[in-house]
Amino acid sequence: MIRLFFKELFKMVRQLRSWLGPLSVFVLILVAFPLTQDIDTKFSHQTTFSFLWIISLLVIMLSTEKVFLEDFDDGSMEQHLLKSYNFSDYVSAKVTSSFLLIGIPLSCMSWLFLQSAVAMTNLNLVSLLSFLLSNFIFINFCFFGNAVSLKRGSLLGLLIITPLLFPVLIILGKMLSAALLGLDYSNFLLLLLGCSLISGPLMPFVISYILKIHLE
Amino acid sequence: MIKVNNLSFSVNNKKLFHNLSFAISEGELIRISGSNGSGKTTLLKIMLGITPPKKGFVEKEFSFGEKEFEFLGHKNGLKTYLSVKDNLYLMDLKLNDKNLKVLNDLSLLDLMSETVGNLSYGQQKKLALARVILSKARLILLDEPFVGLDDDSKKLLEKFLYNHIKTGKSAVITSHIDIDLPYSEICLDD
Repeated sequence: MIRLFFKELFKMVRQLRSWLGPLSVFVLILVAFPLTQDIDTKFSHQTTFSFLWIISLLVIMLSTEKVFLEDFDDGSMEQHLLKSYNFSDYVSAKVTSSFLLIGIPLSCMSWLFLQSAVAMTNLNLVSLLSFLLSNFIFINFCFFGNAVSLKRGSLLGLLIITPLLFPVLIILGKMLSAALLGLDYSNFLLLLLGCSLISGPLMPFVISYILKIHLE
Repeated sequence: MIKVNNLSFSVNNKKLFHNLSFAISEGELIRISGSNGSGKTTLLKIMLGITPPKKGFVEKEFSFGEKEFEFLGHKNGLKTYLSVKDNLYLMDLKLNDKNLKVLNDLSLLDLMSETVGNLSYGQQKKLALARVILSKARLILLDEPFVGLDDDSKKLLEKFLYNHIKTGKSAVITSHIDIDLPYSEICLDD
């Protein structure tokens, strides 16, 4: 499993445009967005958070669009299926390497942007945690969507995962509202953590099953 | 090693094969022949467990811990943005003297740092075959392995297949091209 993860990481690192391009788009948006505002505009917490979550989601969608298609088209997915390890390990390795190269940098950049845009010393840790958890969930859902729509284009995948994404975005919004009002937001954070803990181990099995059907 | 029992498969009510039974024993080379669309690739995929048969079943018997099989289909399974060396690394192939000799025989040794996307179709095919050849699997299944190979490479592959079955391992190939090897034939046109 670890060897498989390093191989997937190795492939991703060598294929810079698949993840560095979308990350550059993210940076470009973060730089460009404030330029369109008046210099004395104060960003509200709610707007800034929402902006960052949505942009992160779009960047993750963009960067994971062809995550399975490449292996399917070049025949290496078939070969993974025949190896001695579980096919779901192959999916897990892909999810983990994507989270490492896309999810974590996105979370860190979002957090840094947040620090510069709005002062919120009381929410430092929780904001970083919410970005990490939401990006992990987004990556899992995008992988699921891409697996389902492997041969039918990413639009179908997008339509499939949209209903799954809404509850996550609602939880994120509720958590922020509670935090800003000084209420207890730990329940929402635990809910997010629960979503991550469920989707993390479960999604690779579901996705590997879907991919097997495509290979048939 | 593998027993195929009463396999049947059809696509859109068209029977590709019906009640097909055969066995692959150790040290045997099987050639699956048939016209285009006769189900050669499908049969390989059923034997590998990728595609479920409509009827019948496949029994596999391998010793514990053995690397069972390696498959090379129409697609090479190569990463075109990586070098030849990197593609070998992805298959856990070590560059020891024995493996280097095979790569040298296939004229791939001088191309180790070359990006696979820059190689010709024939060179890519040879690299894909090298990955299968060097994997030391008990049973190798090759779908049209001779397509795109020059005469020297074809002879080299035949030599490898001969040595492979001589050591008690087995191979199944689909091919339209005549081969100069002893084999059992399964014709799907019958």
